[in-house]
Amino acid sequence: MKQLSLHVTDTCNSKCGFCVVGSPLAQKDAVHYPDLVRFLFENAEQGYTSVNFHGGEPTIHPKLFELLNLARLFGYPEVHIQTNGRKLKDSEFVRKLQEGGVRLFIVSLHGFHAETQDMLAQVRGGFEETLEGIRNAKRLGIPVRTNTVLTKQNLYELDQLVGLCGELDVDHVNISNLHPVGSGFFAIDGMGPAMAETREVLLPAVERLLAMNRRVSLEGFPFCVVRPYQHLSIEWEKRDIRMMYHGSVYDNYDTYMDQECRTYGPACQQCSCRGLCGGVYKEYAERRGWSEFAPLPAASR
Amino acid sequence: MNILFLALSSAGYGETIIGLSLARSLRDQGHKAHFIIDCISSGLFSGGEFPHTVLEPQMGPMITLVMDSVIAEFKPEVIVLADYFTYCGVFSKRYKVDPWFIEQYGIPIVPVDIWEWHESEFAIDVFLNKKMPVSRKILDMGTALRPVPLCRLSSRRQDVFPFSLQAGAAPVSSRTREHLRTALGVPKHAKLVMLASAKWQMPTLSDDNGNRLAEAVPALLAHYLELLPDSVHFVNVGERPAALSQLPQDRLHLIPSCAQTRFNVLLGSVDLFVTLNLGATTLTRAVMTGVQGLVIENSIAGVGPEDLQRIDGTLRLDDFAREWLARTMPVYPFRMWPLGFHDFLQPMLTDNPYLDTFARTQLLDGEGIRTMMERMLFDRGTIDRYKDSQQRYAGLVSALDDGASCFMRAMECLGLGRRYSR
Ligand code: SF4
Ligand code: SF4
Repeated sequence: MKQLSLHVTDTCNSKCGFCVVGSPLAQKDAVHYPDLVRFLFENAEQGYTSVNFHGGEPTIHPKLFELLNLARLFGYPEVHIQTNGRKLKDSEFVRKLQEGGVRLFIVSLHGFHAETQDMLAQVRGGFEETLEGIRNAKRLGIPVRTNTVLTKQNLYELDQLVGLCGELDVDHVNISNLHPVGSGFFAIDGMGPAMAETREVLLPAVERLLAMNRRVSLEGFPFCVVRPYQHLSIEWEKRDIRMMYHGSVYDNYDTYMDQECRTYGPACQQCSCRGLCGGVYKEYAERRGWSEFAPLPAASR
Repeated sequence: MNILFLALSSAGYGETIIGLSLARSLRDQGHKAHFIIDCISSGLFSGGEFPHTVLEPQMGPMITLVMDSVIAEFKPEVIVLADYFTYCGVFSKRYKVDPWFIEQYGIPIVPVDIWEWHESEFAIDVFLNKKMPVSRKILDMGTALRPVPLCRLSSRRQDVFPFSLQAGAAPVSSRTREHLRTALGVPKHAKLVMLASAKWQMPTLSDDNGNRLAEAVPALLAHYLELLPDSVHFVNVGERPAALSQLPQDRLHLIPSCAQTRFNVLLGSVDLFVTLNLGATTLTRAVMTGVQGLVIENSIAGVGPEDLQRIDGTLRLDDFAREWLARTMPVYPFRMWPLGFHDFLQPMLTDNPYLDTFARTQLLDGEGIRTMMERMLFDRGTIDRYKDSQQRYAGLVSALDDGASCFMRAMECLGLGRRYSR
């Protein structure tokens, strides 16, 4: 996969407590539109198979359709949009996005119960909008990947949430570890589950998804926390993602995340997966230490 | 003009922030800055705003070689000491180098004077019966720049220039404030009090009395905080004094030291900032952003039982404070706990309207502290009065010349004004 990745806006119509980009903390949108245009232009015809728009919330960007036009004009084969899915409740809007070249929606789904997601995203009614958005996309034949950030609040409904993904015919379920940056930096104590709690619910959920023949991936979890499913980690596959964030270009998003956002501790010294596993989020280790992590034996790679 | 900033804060990084504010003002006028900093301040430069060279403590006297190469490459036309006191102390104590070796470069030097040295006796009451002498060199340097706040709005000297320090952070919108408090787990109608603890305030000082007070004071503070109503939450940023764990765990939020942008959003979202450091740049930032501030000082010296009786008689200590004092004595006056700086700061605090922007109480006046905290959190009249004072003061500060203009006047004092005026 060779993908161009654009942080198109800091703003969002939700206010997730764990928002990794700290969108609800942003005082203003620091994204400079001409930077986005330049980035799309400079990387045209370089073999990128898709462009990923993320934010904040790309669907509220006033120039979203202009960006889609540019992506098409510059020859990018398809566009993926990372979204909370709320604006997708409007089927006509979804159709226009499809017309504009959107071939995948990556939709945040953080709860099985409406109250859970609405509480986490701090938006009343948001959950129903998201579900309707997913249905609209699927009706038009657009693939949907969901992303669920595991929190203390949704942990024990993960199993039901997985079932819901099956009902909605979601194509790919991604489950993410809470990254304690942005709003998450402040929310970690109240929202971040312990690793043992994570394992307790995550492993059965993965098993259920595999039994349902759903594609499943895990994001940001140390391998020792998700073993024996470390091969489902996004770090396992080789990706080539070039990203622009606030005017700065990161040649390889995954390398950047591993080097800048994660760290190794004492347990990692003898771990066979060190290097492949990105380690632990720095801010997590800083707050909670290293006692939850243990090296993996040689056969784990 | 190429300007080299020596900003070597090695404990907190307030002095470096002041240097950055001056450098921004000069950059807006087309000048170039390069910083030499201590590794502790690296985070302030991670965004790449200014080129910089980092000094590590283990470099020792080798830093003169680093200086040589920066001077050769950057070719500064002026060196700014941001600030004078930190520069003198760090170069001699940390790197074992006579700070004035920089005179060999023959480059004009402009000191930033954050403590109004010309009005002082060049000695700081730093711990019990311990004064720290400070170099008088600044008297021969021909000029100085004083950041306001903390310095006073005017100077009696023709060659010393108070400049407006752009110290406030952007106010936080109610949406952001509400979000941040929810993320922290603070209920909607709760009040949030912020405390900040830096490494240099931990009991790892070179003085036994200093260490005793560094260790003991948080327990007394926690006792006062515990007396506040249940609707008050506490967020502590930075180091975690052990005594804070006595506060109700569901109302205590511990945040490690964090990047300035994060810190500013948090600061802008609290109802009250409580500090034992009157000189804190965080206090300046709080009041210039419209956040209520409360400074707790100690003006009482007590070494033995007779002092205990005297103090108790004057302040009507509660049981906890009385026991605490008996256990902790001897105590010395302080304004920048656990460092003294009590008498040293006095001239600068005289006729300084900065002091109107926040409340001050005495450490041993438990009733006074509790009442003041409650007023600052719950009493509209008190809150509005401080907000008015903050606005009035912000007006006075913004009427001052900015850093770049004052810098040019300092250059004139050194006989270099015309060469660089644009
Ligand atoms: S939907 Fe995404 S961008 Fe918006 S607040 Fe939630 S996590 Fe942040
Ligand atoms: S021990 Fe360290 S390197 Fe190994 S899987 Fe755990 S976090 Fe990753």
